[in-house]
Amino acid sequence: MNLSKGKKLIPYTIASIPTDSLVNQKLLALGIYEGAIISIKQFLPAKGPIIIKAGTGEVAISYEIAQHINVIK
Amino acid sequence: MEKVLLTGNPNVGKSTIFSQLTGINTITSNYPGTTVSYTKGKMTAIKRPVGCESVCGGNCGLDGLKHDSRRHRRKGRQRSCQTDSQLITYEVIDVPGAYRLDPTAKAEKIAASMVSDGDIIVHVVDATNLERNLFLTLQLLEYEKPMIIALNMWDEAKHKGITIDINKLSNCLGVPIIATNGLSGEGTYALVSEISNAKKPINKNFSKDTWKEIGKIISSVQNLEHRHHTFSERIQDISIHPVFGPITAVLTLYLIFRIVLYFGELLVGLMGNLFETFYSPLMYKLSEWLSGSPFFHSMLVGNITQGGIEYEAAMGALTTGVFMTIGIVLPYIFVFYIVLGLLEDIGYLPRIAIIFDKLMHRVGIHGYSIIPMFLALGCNVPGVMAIRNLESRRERFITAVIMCTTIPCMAQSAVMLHAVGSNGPIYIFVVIAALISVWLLLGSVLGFFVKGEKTALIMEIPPYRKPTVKVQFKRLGMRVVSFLKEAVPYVIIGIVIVNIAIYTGVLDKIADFTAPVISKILGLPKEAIGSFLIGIVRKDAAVVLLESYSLSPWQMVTAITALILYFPCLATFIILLKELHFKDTMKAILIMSTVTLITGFIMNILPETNATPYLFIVFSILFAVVISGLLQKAKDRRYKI
Repeated sequence: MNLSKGKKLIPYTIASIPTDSLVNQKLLALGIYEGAIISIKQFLPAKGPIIIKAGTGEVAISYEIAQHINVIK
Repeated sequence: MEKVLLTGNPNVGKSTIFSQLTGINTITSNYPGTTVSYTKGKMTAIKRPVGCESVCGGNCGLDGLKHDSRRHRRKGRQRSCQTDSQLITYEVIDVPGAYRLDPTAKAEKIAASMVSDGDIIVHVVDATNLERNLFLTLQLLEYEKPMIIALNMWDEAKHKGITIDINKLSNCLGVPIIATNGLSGEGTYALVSEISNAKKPINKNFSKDTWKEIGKIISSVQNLEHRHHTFSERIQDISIHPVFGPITAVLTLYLIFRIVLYFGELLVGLMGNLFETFYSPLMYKLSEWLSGSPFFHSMLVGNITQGGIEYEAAMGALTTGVFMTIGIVLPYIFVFYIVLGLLEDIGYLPRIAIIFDKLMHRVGIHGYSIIPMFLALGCNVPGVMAIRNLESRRERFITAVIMCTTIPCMAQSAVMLHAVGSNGPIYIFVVIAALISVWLLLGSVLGFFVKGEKTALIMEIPPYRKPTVKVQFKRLGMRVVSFLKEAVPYVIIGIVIVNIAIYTGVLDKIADFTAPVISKILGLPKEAIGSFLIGIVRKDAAVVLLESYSLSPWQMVTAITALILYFPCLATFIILLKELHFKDTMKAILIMSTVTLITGFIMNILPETNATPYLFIVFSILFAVVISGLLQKAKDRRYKI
């Protein structure tokens, strides 16, 4: 399942992240990597950014990128 | 001189620690990307003599400046460290924040390129977000340079229920770690002492899988205690709520506008009284003194009468020039920077970026671009500099063009509000509607046509923090001084140049030459070219000049809209050249000129009736929304990864 279809406050393990080098590097540096445990904090309306909790911090990710992040429960 | 680099992720408090170490004030705030260029300073510390640690256990001279020589004497040593130690001066460099050393954003590239040149690295780590920060730490360790970790925001981490075993972490990484609080200065002395005795890290042979390594470290050194949501966290949740978030953002923007307008006007009135009481007598004396030389009188004092000085119409460098900058613009700038400072420190700006991300997508860029635009409302120069945090050339170009074209700085806004508002508040809204429409239309067109990589939002959200009065005052003082240093001389020089051009008849010749554009397209008197020429130097001075022509309310609106759109001020132009380079800057200028002529022409051909302002506001915004929607559909370029 991709992250954009996830539900709020449920812990997910990241199965894969986009391979595009720019996006990949940025996600990695913010602690969003394969195997990381994250949870969705908020969805913004009209396919706006998705706010996730990764570690002790929060990160906003655009909907388009979230569609390319695969997660498992 | 050895170079000490202050490195770390964005928004971990590097600039605050830099200020503590060097005593140099820098602009700090609570969002990633405040420092886009490096700042240098000097710091002096005492280097302990060899063998000192074996005597006192390394506890002596923690501040690097004082030394407990009694302890050494107790141990039977004759000499004190104060006589044996060396006083060393270091060059401290505040490096822009970076998440990694294989960066994409321009500001991160600066950071990465500097690391190899440094002698000692002070790596500032956010204790509230240790896991994410360690990614850069492990990359920095690969450089094998003497390194110290400043575990900053230590108190905040404790407050959040995060406990970190510093000794264990230090053993894991092979570098000394000092707990610090940049705002209070806690830990600074210990940090200085460590810098003066910095050694290369102990090689730990970390595996290639960085995150696996980080996971191991975190599980052994960090402990999280569960605690309930605090009041501040509840407010944070509201500000990104799908319904209340956008409402809060719109209300906040409206409130900022009202606060700046209300308190700005209040201070303008106060300044007017002060000028009349204290400055006018001086100007009368100067006028009397210069009565023998009409040239200098018209340059410096202008037209004044004994009944009271009309500062806005006098057109003297020391009357109108000084009054407009200090009496009119400064009050608005002062209020705006107080409000901006509060928003920066609280950490609200990144939330605005998230809320408006979808809207920004319509103009082909993502939400973070709203932060440079917000800064540009104060002054376009820091706004243009902040585009360095954007990743692609396309994003930087679009943001810079729509920002420099449609976002007036506070100095401009202040005189604009004053000049247009005197005909009625509706005319202020006409200018705002024109700018919003151009912003949306221009952005949509650029988003459609400008080629290049389309990036999407991935942004760290800082927690809300309580603003401190000390930081607020320090930053406000720096911004006000910087405004006065830049504005007063430029406005005075600008007014003198225009006066000379009028006096010598040069302005008449230029006005005759440009009359077809100024009169036929924009519908303004041909002399208005003087305003546009002076606007290249300072736009606020240009508006002042406009007030000296007798323009109708609609002509004033057209002229001011055109003045905002046509060209950035000289200072912004120079920074644009630096950030976009020559070719893209020229393209930007061409776009601005075209937009000005089109907008000015449309406004010029509208009949001047009582209903015109209202109809213009409604139809211009409607037109922009419809066209931008159509372009969005036509674009239909789905994001590809």
